[in-house]
Amino acid sequence: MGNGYWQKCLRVDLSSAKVYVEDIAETDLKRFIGGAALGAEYLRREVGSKIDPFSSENRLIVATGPFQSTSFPGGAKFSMVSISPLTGTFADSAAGASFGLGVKQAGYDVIIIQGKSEKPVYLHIVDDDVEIRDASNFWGLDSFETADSVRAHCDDPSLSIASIGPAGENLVAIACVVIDKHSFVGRCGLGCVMGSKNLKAIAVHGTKAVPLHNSQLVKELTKKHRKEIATTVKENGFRDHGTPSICESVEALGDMPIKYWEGDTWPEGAKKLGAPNSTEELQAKPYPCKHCPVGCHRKIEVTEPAKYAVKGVGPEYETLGMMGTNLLIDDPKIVAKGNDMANRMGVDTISIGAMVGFCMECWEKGWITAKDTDGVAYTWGNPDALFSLIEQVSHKRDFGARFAKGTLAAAQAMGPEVADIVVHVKGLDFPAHDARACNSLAPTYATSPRGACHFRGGCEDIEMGGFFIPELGINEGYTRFFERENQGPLASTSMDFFGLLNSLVLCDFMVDGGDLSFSNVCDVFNAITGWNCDITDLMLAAERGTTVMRMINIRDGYDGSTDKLPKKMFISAKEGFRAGKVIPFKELLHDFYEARGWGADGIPSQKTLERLGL
Amino acid sequence: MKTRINIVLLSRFSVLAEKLHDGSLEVVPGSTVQDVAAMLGMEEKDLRIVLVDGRQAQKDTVVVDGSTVVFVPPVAGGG
Repeated sequence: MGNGYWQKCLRVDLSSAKVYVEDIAETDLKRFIGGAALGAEYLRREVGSKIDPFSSENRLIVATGPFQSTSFPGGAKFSMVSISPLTGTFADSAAGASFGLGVKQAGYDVIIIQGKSEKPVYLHIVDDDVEIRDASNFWGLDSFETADSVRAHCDDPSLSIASIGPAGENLVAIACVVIDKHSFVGRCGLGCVMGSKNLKAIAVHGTKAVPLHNSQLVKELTKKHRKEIATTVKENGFRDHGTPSICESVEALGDMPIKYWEGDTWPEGAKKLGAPNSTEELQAKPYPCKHCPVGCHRKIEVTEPAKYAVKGVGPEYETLGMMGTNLLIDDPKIVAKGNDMANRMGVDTISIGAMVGFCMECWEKGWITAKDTDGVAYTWGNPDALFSLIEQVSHKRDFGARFAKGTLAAAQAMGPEVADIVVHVKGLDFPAHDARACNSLAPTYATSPRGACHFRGGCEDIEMGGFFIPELGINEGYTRFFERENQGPLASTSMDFFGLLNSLVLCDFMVDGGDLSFSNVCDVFNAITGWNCDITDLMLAAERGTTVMRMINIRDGYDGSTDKLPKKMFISAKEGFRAGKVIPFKELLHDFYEARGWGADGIPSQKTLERLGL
Repeated sequence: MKTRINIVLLSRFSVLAEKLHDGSLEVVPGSTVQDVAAMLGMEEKDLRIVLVDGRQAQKDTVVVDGSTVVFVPPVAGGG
């Protein structure tokens, strides 16, 4: 009998071109479970404070969890962990396709990449056979071309491939890592950490099955829950329409970004970008990660007009928000084209959308003109501005070169008045959810270890009635829009709960959308590991993980004084659902700190650290 | 005397629009949000967020003549 872990870490030192296999202590796995939290603990131990993210000291950590040992739905994912060039501190970002399964089946729970190669390389991992191979011929290719070329070069269609595009090579701080051309380690610029190590791609395939505690029970639970999740997502439209299905709802509730967070309402835009309209216009179909009945990614085909022709992965809600309503663009085909360009170049679609929105506001205010932008008009709704900036930023040239270190750095170079309009936390651009609508997002964004991140909570979906966690006392009516009661505790609890999902490395959408309960998750976890944990045990491990991330933040210079929201979040809407409402931020942050056992300075108390065994 | 209200059915709720006439619905005076939802054939589990004249309403909120009632599908999978 096993426990769903190999207890093995593959360490790759690109400076010495050597690879090692190290043991992982079971106590570490019991304390952190896996994924982002385990990656954070490695980062805490191995990397000093305030390091240069491009230094050879920085680690790029690929971490799986117990769910990658199964074919359970939502278990194809993995976490990538590093020090972000955008925020200068802890970062993690997760993606799927089949990469996480490939790592696990190759015989590893974790891969740690350190050092720097002198020349472009890619990592080839097939079970015990690990090679650092020359990638000179692939340097300069976009992320999709890289995946195709590596697969062809290896003559192995079974490989799952993580690749970077020009943005990663050019050390652009919003570069992403592209997984099998349809899933993305999107946030915090981890693609340029790969680029800084001259690592163009990681190709992995495994043939091993890790022993489980009770494989028969895991098999039964997998079959049962896959069927239940499939039924749920068929009924609620998630299967057919993916994340675009929420556009109209979130716009109606004031949660969708409009005109770089200056607009209050745009129902017509949300309707055109949302489902069912965008599903029909883009001929969108589900594009699932391995074993997933949800299929939230979209496979699309646009043939007309030819200038927006795309065949492949389509935009999801975040991209429709940040490249769509955020820019006053309401044509899903334009967003699909921008999405495809960004994916190929290897830039985060959220941050590039934010960047273009920032430029459009600067243009409107007269802070930039055609002289700055090589003649491109950054007027609201202009698709050429979107396409131009994606291309220029990725190649770090012309006007786009200004943005190589992110929106905030570019704005700061233009002066404090300009920096004031940037909507970010820790330098990470907001995703497409507005804390003025869902107030529990306010402390979530302000304190999230990786910067403004809704996946550090998922609390906005709880506020908007999409799912609940009854095992943790979070039921319908737990919070009410714009009312302080329970918002801070909700932010705290959901930060740990979603942190737990990132440690188990189980896709959030099995729970949030697929209605898989926490109790179900716990049962599967115990069937895999045999550790007989209850919900309290799992939440404690999750809190331990999020606290380690916070301690890395503190080591890197963040604390309560930097737990802030950007100025625009304190400007009330004039119309719409959140008209006249102001976030009671100070109070919410107080409630959040209190719920977490942090002091008024935002630092976890000694008592809290002792309770967590840290 | 009847009460006529305007109905907005967002996203997947739009399939329930067949009972509407020019986007409106005639209901008996004193009808609640829950009554209106039942007339439209909406399932109880979907009745979580309803706006009446731009503000969040409860299931027992009474609609009045000329009200605009927006039925918002619950938001899940919002990544």
